[in-house]
Amino acid sequence: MACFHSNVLQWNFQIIFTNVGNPHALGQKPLTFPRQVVALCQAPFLLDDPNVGLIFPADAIARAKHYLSLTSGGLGAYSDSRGIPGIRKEVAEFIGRRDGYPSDPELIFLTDGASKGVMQILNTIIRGDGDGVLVPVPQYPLYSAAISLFGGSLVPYYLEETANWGLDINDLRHAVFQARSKGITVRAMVIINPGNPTGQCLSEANLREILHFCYQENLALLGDEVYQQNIYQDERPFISARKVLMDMGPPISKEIQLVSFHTVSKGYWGECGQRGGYFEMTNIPAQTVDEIYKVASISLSPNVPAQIFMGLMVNPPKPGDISYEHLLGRGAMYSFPQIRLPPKAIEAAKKAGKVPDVFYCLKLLEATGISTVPGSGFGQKEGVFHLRTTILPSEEDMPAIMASFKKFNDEFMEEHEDHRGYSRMVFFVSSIQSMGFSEKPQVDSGLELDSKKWVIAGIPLRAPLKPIFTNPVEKESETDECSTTTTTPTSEDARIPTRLTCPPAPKKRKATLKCSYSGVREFFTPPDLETVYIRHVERAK
Amino acid sequence: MRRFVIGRAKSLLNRSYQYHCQDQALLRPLAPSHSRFLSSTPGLDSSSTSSASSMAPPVSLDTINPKVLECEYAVRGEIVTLAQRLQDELKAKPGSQPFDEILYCNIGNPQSLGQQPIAFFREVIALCDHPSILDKSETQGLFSADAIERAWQILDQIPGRATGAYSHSQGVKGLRDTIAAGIEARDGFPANPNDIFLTDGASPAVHMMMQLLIRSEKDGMLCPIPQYPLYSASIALHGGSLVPYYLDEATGWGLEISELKKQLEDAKSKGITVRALVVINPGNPTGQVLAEDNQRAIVEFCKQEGLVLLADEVYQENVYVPEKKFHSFKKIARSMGYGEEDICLVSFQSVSKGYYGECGKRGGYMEVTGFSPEVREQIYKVASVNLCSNISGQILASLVMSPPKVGDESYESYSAEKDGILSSLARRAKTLEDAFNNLEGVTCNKAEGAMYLFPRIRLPQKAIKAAEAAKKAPDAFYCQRLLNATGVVVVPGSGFGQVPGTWHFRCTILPQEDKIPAIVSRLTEFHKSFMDEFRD
Repeated sequence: MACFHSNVLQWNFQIIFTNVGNPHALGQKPLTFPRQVVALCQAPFLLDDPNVGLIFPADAIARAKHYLSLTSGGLGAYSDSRGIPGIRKEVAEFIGRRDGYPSDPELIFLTDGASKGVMQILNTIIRGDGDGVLVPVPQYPLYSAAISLFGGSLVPYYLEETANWGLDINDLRHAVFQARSKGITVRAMVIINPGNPTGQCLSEANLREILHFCYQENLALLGDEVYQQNIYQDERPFISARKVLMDMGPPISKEIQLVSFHTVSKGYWGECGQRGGYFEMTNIPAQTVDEIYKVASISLSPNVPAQIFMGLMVNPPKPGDISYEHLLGRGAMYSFPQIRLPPKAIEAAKKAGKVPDVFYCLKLLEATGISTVPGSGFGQKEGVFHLRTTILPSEEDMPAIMASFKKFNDEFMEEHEDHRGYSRMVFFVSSIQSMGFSEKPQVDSGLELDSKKWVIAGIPLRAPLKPIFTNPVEKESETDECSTTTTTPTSEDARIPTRLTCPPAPKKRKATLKCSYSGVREFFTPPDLETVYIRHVERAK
Repeated sequence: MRRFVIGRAKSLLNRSYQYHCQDQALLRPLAPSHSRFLSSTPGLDSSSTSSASSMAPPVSLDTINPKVLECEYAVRGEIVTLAQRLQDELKAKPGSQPFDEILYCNIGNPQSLGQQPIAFFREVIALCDHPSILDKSETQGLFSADAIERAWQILDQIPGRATGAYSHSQGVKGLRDTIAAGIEARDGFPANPNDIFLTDGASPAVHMMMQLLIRSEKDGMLCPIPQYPLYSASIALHGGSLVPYYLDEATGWGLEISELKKQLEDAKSKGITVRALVVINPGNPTGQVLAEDNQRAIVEFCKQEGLVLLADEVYQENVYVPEKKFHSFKKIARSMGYGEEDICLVSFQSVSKGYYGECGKRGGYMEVTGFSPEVREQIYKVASVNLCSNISGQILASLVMSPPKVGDESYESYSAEKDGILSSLARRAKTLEDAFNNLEGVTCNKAEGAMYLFPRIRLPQKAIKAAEAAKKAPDAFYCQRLLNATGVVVVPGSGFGQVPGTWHFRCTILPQEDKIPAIVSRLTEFHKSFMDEFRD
């Protein structure tokens, strides 16, 4: 993969990463307000500086003081191992507002990202390889990795593509039955809602069925709800498993054990690098909560800046606050289109020693610079191929991406097709309602394939995303302006060249926002894609 | 990681898919048709499944992972729970206790006790967290010029300049380069940035190594006793065996090679394969700094026995006596001529200790040397399950390994802050050590480094009997009485392990200097009344 990347670089392409849900790496700008608050908490001495108001708004200052008052010792001190109590209270209030049922802060643990929380809970549940956990397929590799790391057994269930990746209870029963016949005790079930990589929301009826199922089978339900803030359509809104559980009333609502996970990494927040998250436990006995607390305390505490991000996420600026903005970020992050490949293409892939969808993704990357993850990385039914794309590229880039995607697909099919009757590519996006995008003629035109329309979820992002340019952009020389600001008297002579890149003058600011870099860049290597390719290359050998 | 995950998922899928085909026919009579099932009330359909009410819930003390129940972590145990309760009572009803604040001397959390962060580090992190102010002219009035310059350098190393994006699972490459350069400057031997794994504090790094090394309860880890309970807890959680070696209190918590050999042989005779040796230097909770000769002997021992040396070096900046200096085990091994192929060595470092004490940031790294590329690949795989460690912590880890240099604008204020903190810690250590040594029946070794004192208390028989009656370890009994009387939270030695029949407690040296006299007088007063009550 490494060599593959460098090839791409040499071609001077704009690489458009759509394969990992890592919005900031795609140039999405972080929300300003939370960054202001956290920066102030990081440098609390600024709060005493009379000039702080020049670059920080008053509500950010007030909020920073609020969070500092919740900590004992600021950002540099370990917090309670479960997270700062005041922030857990804010999370509980958020859950209460969302679900209409109060939540207990004592049952909420803040974690270093949702993955840490998932691992903590799985470690508690899994005793050995006789213990199974139901995990959806296609799945996010975290679950299979964590389950095998803790020595448990993964019991897969398939999401039904024909029902918008809905959950078929028959399939679940089938999976549990088979696991039992192999001597596995199924102890817990994972649902990812809204889904990764499929991007669907489960309906309330479906959630009820799932909860009934868990009740009958005596399973703990692990609700991975990290995409809940990517709510983007009205007819199938996100409903938390906890709300449905509470709605169902006793005895079910008093007995089913539920753990829900959330994170600051997803949604319009996309603060992946902060590693903030929480889990909330329902119906877990108090003594077991204590055991989970004990294990959490071995890692001392989750990182404090991310806890503040979490507080800000569940308690964003309100109307009337100076920093209140319409947070319009909507749209699931992933879509999972199916590709139907003609036999000739499958043959060509075999010849190249690659799984067909990997072959397709590679060709796509080579030809267009668009990087996607082949579905075989997530597991899929035999004979069916998918690729995962992240719908994060900015709105203005979308038409161009789609056009080059279509052009590539046409050429690919042309090359490998015997007869033109083949259905080419279908985007299963009915659960992703298009928002504003489909009205735009430049998106609609030319994207109809075999009477199926490409509907791409619109994400009217707050700030347009900028592509990452791989080649350094030529800089205008600005020696004159910069030299006036180079005042550090003690600098060595050798430092002067680096001074040239120091804070640019106002007219250069735009270039900074565009993330156009000077100098050599390290590239973010999409981990999914990389390993998939290496694996298949190895296999070919 | 993913390669492995995908492989596993695929094999599971294939297996399951085969079953899917075979079992279609078999299952049909059992599984109701799709349409019927959607409309039926699932509650009625429990013929083939067991009813929930008759079974223990899946997550309860009887059904969870027994390894979770087994592990213990004393630093935040019972005493701390009691302290939190007392604090709540104090808050609700001031004056309800014989003291007006709880002093947490149980945990190395300096900033919670008022230690100020190093301004330069915080400036850089704040700027990296909110880069859009970097090019504002007002920023130059609020931040020092070299902090702005450093923030630009760091942002340039982060792909997309995004501190909000996942990084490489080992940590941002540019930051690892900086850390490697820092290690090289410290040791005088080259360090490879690819050997460095940035982690959320040192604890996850320790967990990762335990996970890697422990295959079953037949695998043992040589750990010092007394030890920082992270090790015992992590070994228990991963199902291995702790092989203890005792530090010799009489020689200032010295580490004797003969003791290591004895315990190793003993473990072997019990059928345990010892995989690694844990050394904490400077020591936690014991505060000793190893002498260079001793370190050489340890390296030689590991080389001979083929053990992985896990060197917990998080207190490397905390050395308070002029006659001792910190030497990293890597430097010692390399200076003995042992290279990559001779010894497996892992060194842990954290941003939570030292003069910086940035516990809440959860930054740290481990430097892994001497492992084959295949094994390193496995470590990377485990690291990538958690995607990456937090970026602020990563940035801070690079900053502590490359602080401002002579000539930088912030250098003077930085070194004043650093020296202020370290010399104050040295004074506090001395004051508390003297105070403990003045108590009846208490002896306390010199704190040469780290952040703790580990005094030994000789408890009268009457006190031990009273503790037994209260179903408590005698040292826990003492600590609880101390807390109730003075509000000072310390950790009983039984949480760290101690020679049977001896009793200790661990007390940090972190309370601010103006509070130390009050602590000393409260301690002295309490101890006297305790002894008066129980003296034989």
